[in-house]
Amino acid sequence: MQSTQLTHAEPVREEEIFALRRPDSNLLPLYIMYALLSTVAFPFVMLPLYFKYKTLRYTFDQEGISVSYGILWRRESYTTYSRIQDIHVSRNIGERWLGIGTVDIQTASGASTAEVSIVGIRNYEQVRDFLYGRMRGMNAKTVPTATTGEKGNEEAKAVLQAIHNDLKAIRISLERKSDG
Amino acid sequence: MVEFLKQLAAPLLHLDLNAPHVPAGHENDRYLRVVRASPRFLSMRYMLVAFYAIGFLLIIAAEMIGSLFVPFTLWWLTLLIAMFFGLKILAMIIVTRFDYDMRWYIITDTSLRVRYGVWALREITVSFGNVQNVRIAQGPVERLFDISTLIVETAGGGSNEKNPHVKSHQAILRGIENAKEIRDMIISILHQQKRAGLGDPDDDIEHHAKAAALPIRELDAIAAETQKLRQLFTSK
Repeated sequence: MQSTQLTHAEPVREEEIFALRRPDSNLLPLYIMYALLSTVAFPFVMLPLYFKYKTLRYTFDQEGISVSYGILWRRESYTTYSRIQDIHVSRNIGERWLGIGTVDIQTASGASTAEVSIVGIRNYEQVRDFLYGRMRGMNAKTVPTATTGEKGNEEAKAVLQAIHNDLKAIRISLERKSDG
Repeated sequence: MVEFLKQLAAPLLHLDLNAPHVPAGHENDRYLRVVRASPRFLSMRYMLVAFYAIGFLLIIAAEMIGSLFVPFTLWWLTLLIAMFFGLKILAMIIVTRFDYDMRWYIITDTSLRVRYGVWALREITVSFGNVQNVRIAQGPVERLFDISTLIVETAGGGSNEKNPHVKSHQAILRGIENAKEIRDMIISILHQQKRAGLGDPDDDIEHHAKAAALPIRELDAIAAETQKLRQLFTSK
């Protein structure tokens, strides 16, 4: 059987997340690597990636996150934390070499590609935990059925007791009337 | 041997051999459970690699027989192909072993975290509040090894254009022994949450308030009625 020792996540440093604006500078070497892989198409692949790196902006606010990039074709997407369904963290070998990672966020949409992709960040684990604490299904208080049920039962019991007492009194008075 | 390879490969490929983090605040959860892939899953993967190797040997044999009928020799080409596939198979064996060691499925009271991958490390976190369905899949080869795949799905779908191998709205627990038991456990957690897969975050609170209030209100009405009856009878 394999070992099952677990590691515990560090507490989330929120200021650090809210301060996150730009991807790590190591994203550029990663993009150069991607472009080099395309050999002859290098300039055509590198140019859009370079501009993406240059213009990529992240904004974490109290309610949601927005990611924007692009010069000619600008893109900006905003997702509220409470609509997040799945959080993906992926690190390919290039990203691991450069010490960065990607956090992909998915909502309940038809597309299977991530709605918001936070690429090239160094504190990807912090971002993951930050989002995890805010995603749908985490904030909602799970009402423990047992306690509400018991409380409800107590109340119902008292009312039933009152009804029983009343009925008993009516019966007794009816009995007296028929006797007399 | 495996340990030595790990020591060698870990700094080179920047492998993260540690267990993934338990989601913060869930270290002492009631349902906290770490599920690992079965050793039989490893055997199955090795078998598939062996089939691949056999296929490659057949190609080499065919190539050698074929070279007897051509006037010029192709021994260097054969050697090149053999070396390439030999290295590839070696890499496949090592990656298969590492993949087995690096597969983690962590269940807490509120979420499921799946982490796997050697070349590209992937980790998906799904909260049980979003889970739509849980299903078990078992192919013939998996049945042979008595393991199955548990698939936990959230809302949404579609194919992934960027990477068709990764289905994003699914957390897949591959090669586990006790899929039924784990499915039942996840279902019992889902039942406790009593939340519709796409409901608003406080749906359940309202739902419970209504469920508790409804019989009490009716009972109160009956109680008031009997009280009046009692007064009617006892005052006469």
